[in-house]
Amino acid sequence: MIKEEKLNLIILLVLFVIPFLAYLFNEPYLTTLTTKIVILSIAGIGLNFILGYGGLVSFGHAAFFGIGGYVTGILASHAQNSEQMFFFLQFDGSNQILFIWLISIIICSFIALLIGYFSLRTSGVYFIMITLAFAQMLYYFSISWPAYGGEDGLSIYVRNVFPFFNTMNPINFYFICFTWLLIFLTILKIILNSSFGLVLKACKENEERVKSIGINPFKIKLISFVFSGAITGLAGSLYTDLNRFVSPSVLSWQMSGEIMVLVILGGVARLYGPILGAVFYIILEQTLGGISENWQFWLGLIIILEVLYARAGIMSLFLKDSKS
Amino acid sequence: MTDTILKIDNLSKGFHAVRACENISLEINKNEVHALIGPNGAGKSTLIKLITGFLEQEYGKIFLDNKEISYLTPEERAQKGIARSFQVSSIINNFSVVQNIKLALIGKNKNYLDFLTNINLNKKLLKEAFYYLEEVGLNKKANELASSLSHGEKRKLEICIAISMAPKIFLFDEPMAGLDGESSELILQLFKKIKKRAPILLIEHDMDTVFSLADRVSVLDYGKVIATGTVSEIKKNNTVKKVYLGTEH
Repeated sequence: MIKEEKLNLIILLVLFVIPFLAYLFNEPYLTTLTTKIVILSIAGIGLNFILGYGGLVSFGHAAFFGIGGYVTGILASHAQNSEQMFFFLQFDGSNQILFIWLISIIICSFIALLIGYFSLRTSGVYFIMITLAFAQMLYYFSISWPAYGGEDGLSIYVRNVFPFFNTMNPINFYFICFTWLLIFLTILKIILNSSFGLVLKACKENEERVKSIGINPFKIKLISFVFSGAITGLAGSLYTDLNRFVSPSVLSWQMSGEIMVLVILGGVARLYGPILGAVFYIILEQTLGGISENWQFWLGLIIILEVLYARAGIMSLFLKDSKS
Repeated sequence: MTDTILKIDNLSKGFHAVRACENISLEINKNEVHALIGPNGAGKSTLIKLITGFLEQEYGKIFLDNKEISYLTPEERAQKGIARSFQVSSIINNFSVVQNIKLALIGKNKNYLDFLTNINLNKKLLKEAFYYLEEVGLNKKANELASSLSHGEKRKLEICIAISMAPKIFLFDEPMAGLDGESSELILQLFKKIKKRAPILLIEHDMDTVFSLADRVSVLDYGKVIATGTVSEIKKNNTVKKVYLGTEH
């Protein structure tokens, strides 16, 4: 049993070392797998920010993951084919990853603002359903948009360009994603320790009290929702670059469920919980997936056991003073 | 220049066929404790909810410091200077005692959009929070989880939250319900002290407390004000005796 800070450090150290070990043992696939873990962790910490700390159970975060992914795919495919984007937009897209990230974050924030503005007027099961409905709308839209591959998805062949860095090298791309993870962990830690963070946690516990001290909970939740959408959107952008492919599956409710499972598995309202959740999720996928096609059955069983006996997630099993 | 801080003008609210408040008019003046008494279901808590904006009136107006606040949201009214305690303690149970006060101070100072300053390292905020905790005698419990407090301590914390907002008026809904004699006495003394900062609209069932604390009393029955006056006037009022006080007071 160890303290949370130590466990967090160990998680980061392990993630840092894995690509080097993979290189030493000539297992490049392991680096790609760890990159996937890091990207899913970013999506997870994005969702955890509102789910764990704000009590907002969004079942539509695939919307942001998918939009981030499609923004990357669309901009890159136009740049690669030197095609103008739309008849009214004299723009050939871009393969510059910094520009693509910026656009992904801006668009995902704007979509999160729209979805949040309507969804946050509801609560509980209605909030779950409305966020799911928004994501499903985008999913069906992506299927029926033949210009970008429709149901078949969109390939981008080569990763986008980062200045002075070959992104096609798995280790290079891994450390780009790892840096983003560190950036978001730092930003969220600062926010959670700030006045805004305290008010967000209070909104989860008692909205009536928050109103009675002169703070509008809707405003706090909407800002958090936008933050969360932007983080998850950037994860989607990285995911498209990792796979050099994006398809409607990243907008599906299964993707929303997958992100939520990471959060619950690792530990809700623990900053590093989704990282541990993503590690276990990918390990389960790789080990059980090799044994049976229906590996999700075993995942379901593990989640049931966790909810019954370790509600605070896998992290709590390692921690000295775990909260229930 | 009037001394009226809160003015309620013909306020009405019904729930289906039941009239919870019917044409209620009241004035709460500077430096006074105005008690609101009446049998259960008379509309006292509904009136508090109407004043704080947690319920919307059907008609009637509310003025705070001569400015109409009838259509403001609860958070806007709190920002204008209305602080309340709830009938059932409404604190953040998963926060420590001091965090509950810090939260109120963040609301008062309107710096809830500060994303950068670490509130755990903010000495000014901590000092201010302790100033208020000392006033209610909770400073030694500052780092304890609010959920671990006794019933009386939770009531004190709730009052402390209201005090820390430095409002223009306090609305206390049965703040002494379930308290032992010692705790009630402490809160009584506290109210005598804070009424100089802002007037108090007090709902209370303990008549000894009401009569020792209140400067004026209004009596509600079936959603209507049946009498308003000083303690001695209310004690002598035959209608009040009949519907609420009985003959022993």
